[in-house]
Amino acid sequence: MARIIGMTPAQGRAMASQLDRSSANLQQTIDRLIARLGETAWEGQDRRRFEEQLRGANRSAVGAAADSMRRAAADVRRAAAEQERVSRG
Amino acid sequence: MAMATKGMIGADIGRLRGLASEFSSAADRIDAEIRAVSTSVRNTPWQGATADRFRQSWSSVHSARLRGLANQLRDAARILRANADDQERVSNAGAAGGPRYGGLALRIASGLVPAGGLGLTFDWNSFVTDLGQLGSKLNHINSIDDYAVLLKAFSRMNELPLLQVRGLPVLDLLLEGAQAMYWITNEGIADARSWEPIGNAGLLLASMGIAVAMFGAAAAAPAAAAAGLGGAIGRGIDEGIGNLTGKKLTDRWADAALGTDDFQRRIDTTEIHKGMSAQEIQRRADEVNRLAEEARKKTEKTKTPWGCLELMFSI
Repeated sequence: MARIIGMTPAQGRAMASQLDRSSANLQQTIDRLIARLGETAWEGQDRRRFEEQLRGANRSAVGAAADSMRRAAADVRRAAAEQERVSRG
Repeated sequence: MAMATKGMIGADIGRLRGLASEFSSAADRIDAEIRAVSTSVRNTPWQGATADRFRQSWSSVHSARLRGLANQLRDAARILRANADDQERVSNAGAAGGPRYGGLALRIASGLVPAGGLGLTFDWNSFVTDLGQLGSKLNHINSIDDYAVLLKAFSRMNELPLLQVRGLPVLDLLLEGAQAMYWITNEGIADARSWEPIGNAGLLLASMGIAVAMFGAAAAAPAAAAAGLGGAIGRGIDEGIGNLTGKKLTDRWADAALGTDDFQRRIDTTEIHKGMSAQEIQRRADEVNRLAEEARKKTEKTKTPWGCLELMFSI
């Protein structure tokens, strides 16, 4: 379990929120690009291939980063909750 | 048909620019998130094994990969804008004249096809210089000395570590053309200054090697497509070779008569050169033809305005 040293549970939750927000924003950024591609008149095999590659980039770069951030955020939230519990106890 | 194509290209300019803006904005958003997360992680006194692991992976893996993705998106946006500008320029000019096959070389020389974003590490400056020279020379070949300059540039390109640029089809195509040129000329058919007396077969084939390679690559750029190549690659190649050699392709093609008796006769007349057999010349000619056919196939695959983007993500 992570420890929150020198910061309040509120600060920990703020950081967790930031990580979650960034994670969602990154995912949304790529999703919007893919959607934008879908709005173009470009059709055919080349377009499908390009879109697949963009989706691939999403999975490999954005997806991994977003997952990592979500896990970190969850850990910070757990630590904040634990700290509050100990403080109350 | 030509009008319809032109109209479509005109309508696509707005879309290209719109998509370029989307790509740039996406890159900016990714950078902004990288900064936000980095600041948050740096300034928050979060400790423990998970914290250490996250900081380590964030700084060494995730932020670097996200920056790479942002850079790729910016590169894609630059290419889209350049394509839109090129199409607009061509539309305004209202004619299919002007440079036809230097487009890609100039595009690379101006950095529109990036090295850094694609992880290339070879001698980029020399490569750019040579490509710029090729792009320029291909439009102004008037003498055997011009061919010599071309050859020299191609031979230098041939010395570059080709394996490092494998995976980027445009460069592959150029380098295949370069290799074919270098192979044919350097190993036997001719020394650049003694081509003329030898007969035209080797020179012509070499020219075709360049022309097809350049056209195949140039056709991947929508600018070149807008300049009259798109949708008419065969005609573009014809014109290009005609320009290169100073004669209409139909004449030159007939001269070379690839695979015909006339061409065989010409091969027979050149077999004395440097002891190369007709079979060997034919074998090399076949190789050039194979490259030409490959270039045509690649051209067909990459002649859409999105080809450049696809190339960037194809590694």
